[in-house]
Amino acid sequence: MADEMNVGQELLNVPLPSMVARLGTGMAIAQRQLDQVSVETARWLAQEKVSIVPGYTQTIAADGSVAYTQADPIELSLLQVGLMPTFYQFAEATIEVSMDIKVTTATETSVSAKAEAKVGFSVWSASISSEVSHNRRMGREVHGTSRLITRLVTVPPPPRLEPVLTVIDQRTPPAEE
Amino acid sequence: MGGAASFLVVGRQSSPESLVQAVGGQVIARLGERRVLAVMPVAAGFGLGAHPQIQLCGPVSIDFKRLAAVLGGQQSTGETPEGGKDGR
Repeated sequence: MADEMNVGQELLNVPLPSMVARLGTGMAIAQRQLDQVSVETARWLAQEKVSIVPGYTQTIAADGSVAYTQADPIELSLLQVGLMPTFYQFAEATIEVSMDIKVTTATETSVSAKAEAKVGFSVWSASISSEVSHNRRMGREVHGTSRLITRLVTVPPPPRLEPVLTVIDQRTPPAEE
Repeated sequence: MGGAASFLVVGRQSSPESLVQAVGGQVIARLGERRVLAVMPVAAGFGLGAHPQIQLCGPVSIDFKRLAAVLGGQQSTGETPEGGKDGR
């Protein structure tokens, strides 16, 4: 019964509140770092330019010859082209604690007794001696492991981050017959 | 952090291509001398950001709608030898 109480106490001794608190703090720090990387990425994507040829024209002449003309290249940022920073968010966290408790008790008792009697001329004596030793050995092994599992999911970037693309096509449509 | 994701990787002084490959990534586009777009395991991508030769390793995704809109200018004007529309 006492051993069972010890095991129960061991389980109660698991510092679960502080583990949860540390996990929460760690996730908050990690989330901040993830956001910083994504924001830094957004800054790079907005600054870095690539050269894009916005259009080219293929003209097929009446004799079947084909000619291409291309518009002047324009500089667009990677963000304008369509590369968006990915934002991650912690969606779930799990703490797994497993304990292996082993309690052993060994009791050893040894008794030795010795009796002596002497008889002489009108004198006699007797003695009895005994020795009792009692050893009790207790052993306790506690092994504990904990595992933290977090799940990351992607979330849409902040709406304001995405530049609004408005296309104004001023090309003259071909005349319909 | 399982699975793979796209990352914009910027090297400090040279192309980060070899470093990307070293962590099991694959370069899918070269955007300049020091910039590549790569696909690699998410954990490897975030770990690569701490490499001293890497200036930035940030997760990115491709907005195909926007890309299509930007590249939409490459569509033909619709003029055909017959003078009709080609259904651009």
